[in-house]
Amino acid sequence: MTATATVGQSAEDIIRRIIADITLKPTTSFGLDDDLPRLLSLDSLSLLRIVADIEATFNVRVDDARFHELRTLRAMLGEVNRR
Amino acid sequence: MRIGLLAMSGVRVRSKELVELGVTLPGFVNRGKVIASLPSLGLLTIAALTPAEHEVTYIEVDQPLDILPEFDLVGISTFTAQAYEAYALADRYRARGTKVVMGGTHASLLPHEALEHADAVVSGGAEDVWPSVIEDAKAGTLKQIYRGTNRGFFTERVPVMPRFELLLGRPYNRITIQTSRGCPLDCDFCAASKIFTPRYEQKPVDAVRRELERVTTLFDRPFLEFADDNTFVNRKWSEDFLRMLATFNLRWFTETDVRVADHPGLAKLMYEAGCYQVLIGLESPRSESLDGIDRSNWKAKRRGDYLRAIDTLQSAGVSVNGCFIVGLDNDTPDIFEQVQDFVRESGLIEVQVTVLTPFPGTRLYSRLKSEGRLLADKFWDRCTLFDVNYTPKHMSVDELESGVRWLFRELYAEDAVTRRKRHYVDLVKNIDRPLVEAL
Repeated sequence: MTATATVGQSAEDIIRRIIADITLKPTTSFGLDDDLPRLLSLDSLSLLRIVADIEATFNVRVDDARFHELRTLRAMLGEVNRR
Repeated sequence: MRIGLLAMSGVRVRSKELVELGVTLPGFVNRGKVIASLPSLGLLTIAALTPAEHEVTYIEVDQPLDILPEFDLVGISTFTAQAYEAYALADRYRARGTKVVMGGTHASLLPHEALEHADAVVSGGAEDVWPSVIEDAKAGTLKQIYRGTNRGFFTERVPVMPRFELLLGRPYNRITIQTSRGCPLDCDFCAASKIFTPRYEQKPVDAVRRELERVTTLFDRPFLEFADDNTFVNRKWSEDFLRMLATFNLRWFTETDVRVADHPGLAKLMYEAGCYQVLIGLESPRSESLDGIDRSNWKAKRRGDYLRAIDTLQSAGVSVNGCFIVGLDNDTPDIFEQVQDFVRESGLIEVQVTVLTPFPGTRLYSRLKSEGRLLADKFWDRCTLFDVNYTPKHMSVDELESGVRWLFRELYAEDAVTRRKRHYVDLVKNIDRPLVEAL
């Protein structure tokens, strides 16, 4: 895992860091509803790496059928809040 | 002079059935799309070889141009599948009196054919001859064929820094950098840089570093694609290169062969250096089909290492895009199921299947021609890697075409793709990624 959860950080902050680590872009370069593949030229493998980090960090398992839906920070946050 | 450097880009599959499949299974043409959208490193190098007194414009052409930009000299780089479109473009420029020079893979392989549409052809690497082309064009004394260099690109010459700045302001998913030219393997079907370079040559690591410094100055954290046929051949060079690359904190993709997994530490170092994926030409899961495809039978000898190599790389976090060619001479109609079985068994994260393609100038082309197995003498627009252009040895054309379609449906079906994605997620999330010395 790249990102490490820190006490006091919100889930959104942590996912922002995960995305920033994978994409090498600042945490402020995308909003909750931005389409990440389009905005950050994110390829499918990078998206899957983000999913992997989210699963490992929050100890959740994303439904495989939902991989293609995880294109925004809000959608990723939704997966974490669903646990 | 105003010089236009025009790169032909984009390949269109000709088979109607495959085009229709592509609409429903876009996964199978993804790699093709990535390749088609890569900048032309060759033309950026040509631009760098052009004296500063001339004005250079770089254009990528993926559709016929409605209006031709005005130039005094046009350089067109093309590959086989787009040769006819490149010729049509050249004809339009020449009809208005503009001098045209052609180069690139196809023109290098068939310079006399290209000369029917161009005033001059650069055959081979342009490093030594492009300045002469410019001088001659300026003086109005262009020769017909300029034979470029075929060795010593990085040893006898200072590597040329491509003019990456010409790409500024365009949307690229990937920026290309070349670290090697040629390939130590000598495959029957290969129409890549091997044809121009009898020796495998690697760029000094410091020269690659300079290009990385330039690229990262121009672009914000670019995703890199190394424009090599086989990057990781020499272990010492690979280690030096990866340690240097790791300092840039970038993500990248390249092509190599299974020997990269001979040393597990190298796979770990690749991951630490930002490698997202390596494309490996596995060619076939069948030893019989691999037999004889390269001069030293290297790939057939290494068939037993395939599963271990894939596991070594992917366990280290480097996904493998395994490439298979169907329609090899020893393939029988059960090859399609065998490829599918291998993909499942190996856990390959990505898979690419292409049809054996006899590119002009290859040993394969000569052999099939002498055996009377080519479906036409010229079929350049069908050299898409998906269209069948010859009679297979142990199956009919129809069996090969329908087998390919079946395999695509199986490999790129949603459940198959999702299974591979899940495998990747599970692999990656279990990897610790401390930035440590891996070797």
